[in-house]
Amino acid sequence: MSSPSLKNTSLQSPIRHYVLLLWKPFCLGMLALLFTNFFDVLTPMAMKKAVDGLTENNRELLNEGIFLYLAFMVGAVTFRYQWRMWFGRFHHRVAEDLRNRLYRKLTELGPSFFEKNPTGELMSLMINDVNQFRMAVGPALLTLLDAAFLLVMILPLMLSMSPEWTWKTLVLFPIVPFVIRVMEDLLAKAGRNQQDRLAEMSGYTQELVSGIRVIKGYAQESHRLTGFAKYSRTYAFACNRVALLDAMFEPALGVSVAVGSAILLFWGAQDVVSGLVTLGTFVAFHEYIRRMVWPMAAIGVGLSLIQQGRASFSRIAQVLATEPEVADQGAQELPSLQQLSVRNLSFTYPGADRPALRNVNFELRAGETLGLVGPVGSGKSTLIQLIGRVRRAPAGSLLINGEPIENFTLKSLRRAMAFVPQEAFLLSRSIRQNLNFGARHAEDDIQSVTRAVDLHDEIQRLPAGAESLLGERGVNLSGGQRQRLTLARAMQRSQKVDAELLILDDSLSAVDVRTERQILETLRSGDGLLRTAIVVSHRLEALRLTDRILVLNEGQVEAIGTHDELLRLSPTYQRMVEIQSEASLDPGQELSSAPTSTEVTRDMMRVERLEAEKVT
Amino acid sequence: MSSGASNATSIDQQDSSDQLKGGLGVIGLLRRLLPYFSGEWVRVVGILIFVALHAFMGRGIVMLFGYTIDHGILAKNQGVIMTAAAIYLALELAQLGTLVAINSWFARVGNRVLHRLREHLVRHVQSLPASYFDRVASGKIVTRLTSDPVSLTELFQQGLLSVISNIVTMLTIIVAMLAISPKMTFFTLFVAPPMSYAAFLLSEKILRAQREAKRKVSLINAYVAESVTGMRVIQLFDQAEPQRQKFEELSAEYRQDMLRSVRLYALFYPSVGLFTAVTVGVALWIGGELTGAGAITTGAMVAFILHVKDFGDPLRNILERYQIFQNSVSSGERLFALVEETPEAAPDQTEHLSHPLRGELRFEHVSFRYRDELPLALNDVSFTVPAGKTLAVIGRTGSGKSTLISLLQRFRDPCSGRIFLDDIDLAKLPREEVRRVVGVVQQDVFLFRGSLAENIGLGDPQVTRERIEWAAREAGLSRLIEMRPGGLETHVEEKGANLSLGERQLVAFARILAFDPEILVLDEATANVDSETELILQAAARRARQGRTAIVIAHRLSTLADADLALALSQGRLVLWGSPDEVLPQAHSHVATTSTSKNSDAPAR
Repeated sequence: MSSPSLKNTSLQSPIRHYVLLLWKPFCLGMLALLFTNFFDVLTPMAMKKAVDGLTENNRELLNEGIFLYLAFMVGAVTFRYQWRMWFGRFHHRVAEDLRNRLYRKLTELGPSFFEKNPTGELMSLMINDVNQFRMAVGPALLTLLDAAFLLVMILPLMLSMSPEWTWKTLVLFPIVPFVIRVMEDLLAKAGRNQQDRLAEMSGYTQELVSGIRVIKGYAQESHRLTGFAKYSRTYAFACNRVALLDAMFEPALGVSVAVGSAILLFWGAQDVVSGLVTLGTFVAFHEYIRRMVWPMAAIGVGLSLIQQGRASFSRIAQVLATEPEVADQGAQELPSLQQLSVRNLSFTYPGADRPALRNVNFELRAGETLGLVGPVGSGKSTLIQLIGRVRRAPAGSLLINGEPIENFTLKSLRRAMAFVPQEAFLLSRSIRQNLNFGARHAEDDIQSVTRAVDLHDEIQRLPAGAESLLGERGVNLSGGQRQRLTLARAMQRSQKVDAELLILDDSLSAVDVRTERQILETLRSGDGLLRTAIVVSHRLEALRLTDRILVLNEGQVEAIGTHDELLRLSPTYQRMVEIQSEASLDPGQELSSAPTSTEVTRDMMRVERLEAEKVT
Repeated sequence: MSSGASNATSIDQQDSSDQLKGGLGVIGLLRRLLPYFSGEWVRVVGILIFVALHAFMGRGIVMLFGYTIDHGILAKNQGVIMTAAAIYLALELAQLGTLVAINSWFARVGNRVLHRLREHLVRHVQSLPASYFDRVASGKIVTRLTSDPVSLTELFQQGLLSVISNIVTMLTIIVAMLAISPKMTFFTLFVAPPMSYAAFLLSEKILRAQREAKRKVSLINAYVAESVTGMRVIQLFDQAEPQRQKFEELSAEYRQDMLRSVRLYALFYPSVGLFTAVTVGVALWIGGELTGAGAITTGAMVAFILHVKDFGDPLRNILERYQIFQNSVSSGERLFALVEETPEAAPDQTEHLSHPLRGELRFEHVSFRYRDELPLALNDVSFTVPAGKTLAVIGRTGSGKSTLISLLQRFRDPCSGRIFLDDIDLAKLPREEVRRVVGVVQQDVFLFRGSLAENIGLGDPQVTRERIEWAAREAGLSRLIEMRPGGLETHVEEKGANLSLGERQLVAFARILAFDPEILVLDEATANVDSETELILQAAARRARQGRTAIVIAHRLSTLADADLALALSQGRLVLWGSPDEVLPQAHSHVATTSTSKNSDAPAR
């Protein structure tokens, strides 16, 4: 890791930081560029000799000119290859380093960062902004250097040929950088407009495709087409504007060369006539005028690229400067988890006007299981995330073995916990790789865990078994299958690292009641993974297996106790029991005892409804 | 899924499944584009004339330069020099002017052609059958309609025109050189073919390197997207370090791919420079002998060298454009593969409905399967709904309820059996006519970005403002409209994100009332809404059913009880039929879900 001061300069003046950091390829590239320009600038001089040799009918002078010309060209070509390579190495390394720094930062940041920064924007930061900065630190910087070298070399040569010609022919050149700058800005603006119009058109098209059933259902095809045509035409106009500006770019430069050359022809030719200078000098000077235009333009192009790169870097720097939500500053290793205490825990989300948790207190000892219930928005997930140290709890409100949770290293803390989150996140790798995610070694044995979650047979039925790839290009699992796989993954990990606390955050919501219960029972028995656990669930059925149940309501502990105790103590719990007992009426009785009550049908519908939602 | 739309787009670039069979090639692509050029030919010819003018003026400038040396400078003729300088300036400026005109006009033509192409594509996509939209991900279709034509833009703006004008330039240069000295021309340009071939090979390699780099970008994107989505899990599983290492590997691979590109370019440009060096050297060598022998003037010699130097640029340009052509061709192949998708079968417009409709619906032995290898989604279903009556349909997920709706809207046609509306076979009616008569309220209501009013009237000019207002009121949207400052003009966000589920459903009801179809198909919402909204929804549903024949996919008991008739579907078969009172008692046994029935070990309470 870099020291704080270095990190600071790397954010404040990034270009200098990287030039210093990767000085070798940068300097070699610069040196090669210097030589390239040197040879390049000399070629018209060789040409002058050759032309003079031609006019004077001096074969030796001509041959010398040809030889020098070829030698200079070969020199220029060789070094041109060299600087391209060195500079390429330089700025692509810069980009790589920035990408890696960004990614590292992302892995340190917590959920509140990701809530504020959508995935799409982070992807764009990682690719587009990094690339824009690379352009600034690479090609743009190079362009400016190139321009500087050329100016320093060509101007003296021109002045040595004729000071008078020089100022007369170059009269228009000083304004070139400004013209280019203005055109670059106009182009950038037009380009952004073009992108926006494209985005609009794409958005409209996206709706047209997703809403195709509505459109067809109401026979609205022609109106939608008219709407699309409007966007398409606006976009075409935006493209036209970019094309027009683009088309003017080169000619704008050409004007200065044209005027300069015409002036040379007008005044310079007379000096040749009067014998003041040779024809070769005249031809060489003409060539120099042509060469002067690039450095002038390069200043405009380079400056504007650097400006864009700066803007991109400020977006990058913002992310890099973000402090991690949970600082990993603990020094102690957690040997084993004996007791978790929650003391007067309150938590408010930044920007929220009401606390998500208020004065929560409870204890959990090793070997104990705690159920967690409560209506949507009661703070269950927040509590779980605070315990898992994904979000930061106020200091001193969470104790482990009697010590503040902040004192332990994140690594040892996470080792002690196996967390199964609500959303079943799986990587687009094989099932086996997913199961071994978090285990240090790729384990061959995945059977015990897949059997425990009742997934073994289903995996066997897949064409490639446990090697089947998940995700877009692989197999699609149902919601329930995904959840069970996620649970199996946590089990696999906890076997490997000896996790002591299992946290299930409503992680079996898409699994049917019977399977959920079965899985939980397996977890409890035998290997006893469910020794110490916090189980969040909407299904009271599942929570019957826990020692105690905590009822959260609007961020507060309404009650804590066993099922029977809660039936007396907690109105929220009572209500939930009432609702859920309807849903689990035994259908066996139904068949015999027709006519059906209205409740049964409603429950049947509700369960089906749940299923329909989960599968998709 | 998690990786987002942009990722899907980048991934499908390597997906060859939707490419045109046999490939297109540049010529094939241009031939396919030809029809979209209609009306542009005058402009195209005009541009080509300008291209020729531009090339001639370029040679004229060089020739003038040579002429001035011989007849002005060396002949010491002041008058010639003055005139030449004036003409020179005029020619240069005119040439720059034509360049602006050519480039911007050609881009204009290209953009108009692409606009026409996009319009055609959208019209075509709208005519495709429902199965196409089930088969192809929507992100992919959007890419076809928007991004792929964008890569064709490059073909127009940088590819096609550039190649044409560079070829013209090269031809004029060769002619100008030949005019000065055929011998010198021959000896200088004999290196051109091998040099071009070498440069061509390089540019092919560059193309491949760039494609590889592009692939890496999409991999990185996918990786970042996946990491961001699962960051909490990564952190909780203490996997940040391995994930980082993997990312750094990917990142380094990307850099290496980019460097490969850099190296190839670093070889490409100097090789063209070397070409110029060799040609100019040879020209000078031979020119020395010719001028010495008096066969050629100094001015002509200087002009010749300037011509030769001008030869390198167009050569390099053409070779560089090769990549653009290749990229456009692959976009074009995907595009025209889309064009070749078969639209919904043309209607057998033998019959039309006679209005006013009575609205009697009759299914006769209707069977349907989605694909040959799949089981029947509907199996020999027959029933009749008398005009103006409401039929409730119940059944589990996958029992065939939504298939029933698809058939009624003619998104699909039965494999066997027939559906009659007032004794007319639906299959014999134009699809649009059927869809105008059958109004559907789906469970997940799709809303467009735009105002509430636009979502009710769908922008159809036949639906007046008064009608929209009336429909909104009737559907019970008044509360929603009053609550929002914009009223009916309230902006609806993408997919109606700023409206609740219940509100979205109400908008759909308003839509139905505004369009007034004779038949209503209602797929009742399953998700929970608050009780107040529930009441408004039920009222809206009841109003929508008034005076219409209705088929309701029922999820609530009250809806079932409200219907005139009821049927239950199970695995595509009609298993129960009768009045709600008759169907209800048996419904559970046929429709019961396994998850409730499995719950046998529930503890006693």
